Amino acid sequence: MTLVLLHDLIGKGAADAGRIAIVDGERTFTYLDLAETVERMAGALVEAGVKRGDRVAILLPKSFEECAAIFAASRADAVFVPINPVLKAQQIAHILADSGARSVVTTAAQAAAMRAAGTLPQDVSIIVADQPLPAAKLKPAVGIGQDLAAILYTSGSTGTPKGVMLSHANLLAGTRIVRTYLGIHREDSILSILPFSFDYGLNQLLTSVEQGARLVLGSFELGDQIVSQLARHRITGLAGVPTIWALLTKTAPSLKRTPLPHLRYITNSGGAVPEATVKRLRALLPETRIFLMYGLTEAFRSTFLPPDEVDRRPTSMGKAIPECEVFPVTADGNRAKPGEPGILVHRGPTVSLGYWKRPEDTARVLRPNPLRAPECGGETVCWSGDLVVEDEDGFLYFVGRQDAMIKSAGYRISPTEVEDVLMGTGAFRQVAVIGLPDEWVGQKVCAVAVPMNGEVDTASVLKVTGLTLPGHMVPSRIDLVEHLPTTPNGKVDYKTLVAERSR
Amino acid sequence: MTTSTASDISHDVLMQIEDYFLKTVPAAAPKPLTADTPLLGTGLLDSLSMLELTMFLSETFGIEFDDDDFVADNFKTAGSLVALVAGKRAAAA
Repeated sequence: MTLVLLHDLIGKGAADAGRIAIVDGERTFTYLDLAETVERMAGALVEAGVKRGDRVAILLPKSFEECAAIFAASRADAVFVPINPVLKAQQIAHILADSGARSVVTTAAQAAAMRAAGTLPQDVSIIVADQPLPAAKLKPAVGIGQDLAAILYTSGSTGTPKGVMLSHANLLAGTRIVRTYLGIHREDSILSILPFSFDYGLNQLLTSVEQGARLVLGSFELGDQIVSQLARHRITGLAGVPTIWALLTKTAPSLKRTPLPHLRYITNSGGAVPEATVKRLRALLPETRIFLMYGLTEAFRSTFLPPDEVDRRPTSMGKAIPECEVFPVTADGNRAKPGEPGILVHRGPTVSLGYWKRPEDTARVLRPNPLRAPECGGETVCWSGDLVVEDEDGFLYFVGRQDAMIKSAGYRISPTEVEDVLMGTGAFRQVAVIGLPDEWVGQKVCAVAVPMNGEVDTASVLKVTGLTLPGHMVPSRIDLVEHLPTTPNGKVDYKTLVAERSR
Repeated sequence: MTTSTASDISHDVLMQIEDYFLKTVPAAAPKPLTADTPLLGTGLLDSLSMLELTMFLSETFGIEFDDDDFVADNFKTAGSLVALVAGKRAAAA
């Protein structure tokens, strides 16, 4: 069967309906359960007035219901907007309003809390996912692959999070491409510990379902809990961000005494893994293949380093994923030569449709192919904003960001979003938020601030900030200064602020 | 000069942990925090805040956590974490 829409992915597994699709704690769900729940949820969406192209926000803890809701939106010809449950009311409200969500799929408890707090827009209907839904008779979906399937919210260097628009074709291409190079198959059991609101985390669900494999939804507070889940469920594949590898190699004592003969591969994305951590992982998991990957939501997935290159080039992000071309381009628009830094440009079927309702931001990221004019067949490509360099063998290396965006524990954080909240406390004249190198989270969020009236109790400011921002956005410290350094143009000199604190 | 008793130390550690939660997760902080307050499986901590808590305790009490300390038994309740920290302080004294 040709796959056209996202929920078509369930077809293969559902052909053998008794297969286990999803393990959620003590609950297990077959592909038949998944297909039926998707149908019921889609029925509830249509019943609630959701029309083709409407946005359906999903605000659920990591659960079977969250998996089903993602496919149910597609089944109802709608667009799913996953919301990370760690976000606070202010960010949730932004995503609901910005996406113009017609419906929210959530838990009864969350719905009640949002109603009580008045954070739910009037015209948004609620589908309660943790209660039984009636069977539904639905017309077949009418969408095509080029229709919008998802909006994934992510941060840039400025402002509030933007919604990256992905078509069904984008998501299906990303599924097919990643499954191919990871060799994911029917007998795999994949542990999912990343949020589905993150393109990389979402892909574990999509690839697993596409192959009729088993997805185990995991959660952990200690590295040892990941190890015990890997062993207990005979996990064959694990995807993580650098922070997870730091936890597993430094604070998971059971890893060195727990044999994991089933663990075929692990993948990293969401930031570079320090070379020392890669080496420790190789020593602790000698039989496991390590895939170092790179992607940005705007192009879904971009590069990977084949596992047999990891010992030779542990700091490389590899080469383009199948079906795509990825190369550095210099400031004057030429393809960079080996050794010459350039902005990473991505061509291929995973290039997104841009940012929801933000044509100017979209125009900065989606641009004409620099190497081929439109009248000669040149298409729209994705400019990542990541500075990279290529070696003589065509392997790429991350150099740095072109802008001030912070990446912490796999999250993209906009400095201005945190600055706005800090300024909102009224305690400061001026604030700059920067990312400082950190062995656990890659970059840790730090604020440098000029106090309003000499003295400021930074501890109480951070306490207030913690009410408004999710943990990963709250600065780990606030440095008080008399004035912020400026560039010759009079702008705050972020580079100097970082350099002063990175020695 | 007075010497602090084991129960003084435990109380002190417990107070510091309570304070830490009030500072970092003001809305969700368990109050009062007792030795029986569960730390794992409650959503109070994630893997990163768990690490930050241990770093905070390391700095506050001048102790070090080893790899082997990061087992679930040591983090199950506030009391088990207090016992771990108090043990380290006693060993360091």
